[in-house]
Amino acid sequence: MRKMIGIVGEGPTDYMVIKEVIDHITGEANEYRRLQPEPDMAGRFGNGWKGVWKWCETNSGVLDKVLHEVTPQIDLLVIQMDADVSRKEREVHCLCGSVGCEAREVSHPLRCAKVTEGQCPVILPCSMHVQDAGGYEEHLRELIRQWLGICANNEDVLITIPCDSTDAWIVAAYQDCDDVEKIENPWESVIAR
Amino acid sequence: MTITEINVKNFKSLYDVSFQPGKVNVFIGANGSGKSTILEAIGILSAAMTDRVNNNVLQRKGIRLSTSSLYKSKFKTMKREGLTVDMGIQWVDEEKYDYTVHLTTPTDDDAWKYHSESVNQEGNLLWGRSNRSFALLNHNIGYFMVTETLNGHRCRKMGQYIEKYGIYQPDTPTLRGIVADTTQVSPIGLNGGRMADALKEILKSTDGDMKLGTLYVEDILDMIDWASGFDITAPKKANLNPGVPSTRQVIEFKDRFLKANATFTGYDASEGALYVLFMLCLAMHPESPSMFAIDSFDHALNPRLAKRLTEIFSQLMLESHRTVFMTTHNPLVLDGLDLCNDDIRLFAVSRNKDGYAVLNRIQVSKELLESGQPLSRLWINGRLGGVPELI
Repeated sequence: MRKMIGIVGEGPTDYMVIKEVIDHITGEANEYRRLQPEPDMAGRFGNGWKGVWKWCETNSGVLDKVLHEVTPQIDLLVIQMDADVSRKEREVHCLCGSVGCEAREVSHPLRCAKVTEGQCPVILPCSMHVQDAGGYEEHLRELIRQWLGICANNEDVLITIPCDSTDAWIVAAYQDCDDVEKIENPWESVIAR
Repeated sequence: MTITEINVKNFKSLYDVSFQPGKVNVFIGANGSGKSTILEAIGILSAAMTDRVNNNVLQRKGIRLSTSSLYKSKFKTMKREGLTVDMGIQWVDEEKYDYTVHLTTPTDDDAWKYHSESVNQEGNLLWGRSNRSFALLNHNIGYFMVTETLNGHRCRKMGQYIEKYGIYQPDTPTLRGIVADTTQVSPIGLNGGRMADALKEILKSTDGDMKLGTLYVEDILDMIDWASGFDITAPKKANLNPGVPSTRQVIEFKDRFLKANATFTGYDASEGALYVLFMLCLAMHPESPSMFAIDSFDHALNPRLAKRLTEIFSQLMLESHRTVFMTTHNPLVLDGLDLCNDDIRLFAVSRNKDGYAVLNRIQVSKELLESGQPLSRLWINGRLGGVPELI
């Protein structure tokens, strides 16, 4: 049966790909809503992984209402964030606690001056996670649940963390290799070759 | 009398669309989603039910004239092109009624031909005609309002209700009086060309207070920050440069920051003030249609003003038992809608995968609106639909 599916993703390409994948899997022409946060006054956090973070935090207290108290209701919410965010971005490791930082208690990681000034003490790769595709994925999945304030068994929300990014899945079409979803940094290890 | 459903088949992007309107109906959607097409479809339905469908009638209702072949849906995915454009309306007036018409688009002239037309009461045929009818009928003319079979019948009230339907689209040069209204229909003109005359007809002094229709002028001026008064006069040297083309009557404004003798006309006034007066006049003039549409309700309005005007306009529509269909691109218009009132309805228009227009009625719980998620935000954030997906 056709579903109404909300997608919170990093950008328009991710949205288009996810829509097609879901329709292919379900065999239905589902209806979709692309959910996006409003950018701030400086035009930041309206898209990309920071936009996904902002959307999740903004809607955490009212998630159930946003999904079910507007008709047509949303049957399933898909949250997408690329796994390379865990590999590349210090902000998402701020709360891991691998290093001490006096700004942690007073600044939101997205707006922390230490990050913009290049002073963030987080060391990548973060020692608190397994350093492979599965580790990055698990880290971001748990982080998104925290932002949304939901537990692992929430059936309204599907968190999808493509490795390394949605676009990198083009590799799957052209590279005849095993465990394609576990190739780390496919841009360099496969596509650029 | 309550309209319960309008349905349209095979008309432009509306391949198969039906919806249940209220009294105030607002359509939102990305550019090119089909909002204006819905307003036009209702116009064709109104023309077909109460008169006939040809270029002259369509223009009088503010409907864009297309080439004959483009009136019908032409999607790539359609296996066979439909023969007719089909429209219907259902309503309740003590009993349930429905009117359906199947039209063929023009071939050798500009007249749409009636393939069939029928009206039912509680599901039973009251009257009908088709190409196979024995009666010698003119296929270019609708017979719902003229057939003797329905003389004196209650169902005709719906025809009277929708016959003056038109799509209003005020524009600044016309409101300023420097360009003629292409559709100068009574009382105000589809583009606002008769606004000064129409305002004069409803501007009255009551117990020392000036009222426009049912509203005190003082309350209206609260929406136009700078104005301390307005009146309708003939243009004169003191308020309008003689080199400016003008209508017979003009709106003369007083600015609260200027000396009393420094009056000026709509030509020099802010366009927002003209749009406010247009909407209020349309809502309150006794000769305004019972059912009409406004394309781009928010045009030239500051967002806050758009919100306030929406609240007042909706209230006037409900009080006068009129039905309006309007489109907007301004999120603040939505915040002026009381969606808890079932007579006020919001619809999101979008295209599906194959390009067919899809309509969804949007309902939002009071709890969500009160939790810091106004309709404007829900719309901008994509929750309501009706936004371009890839921007």
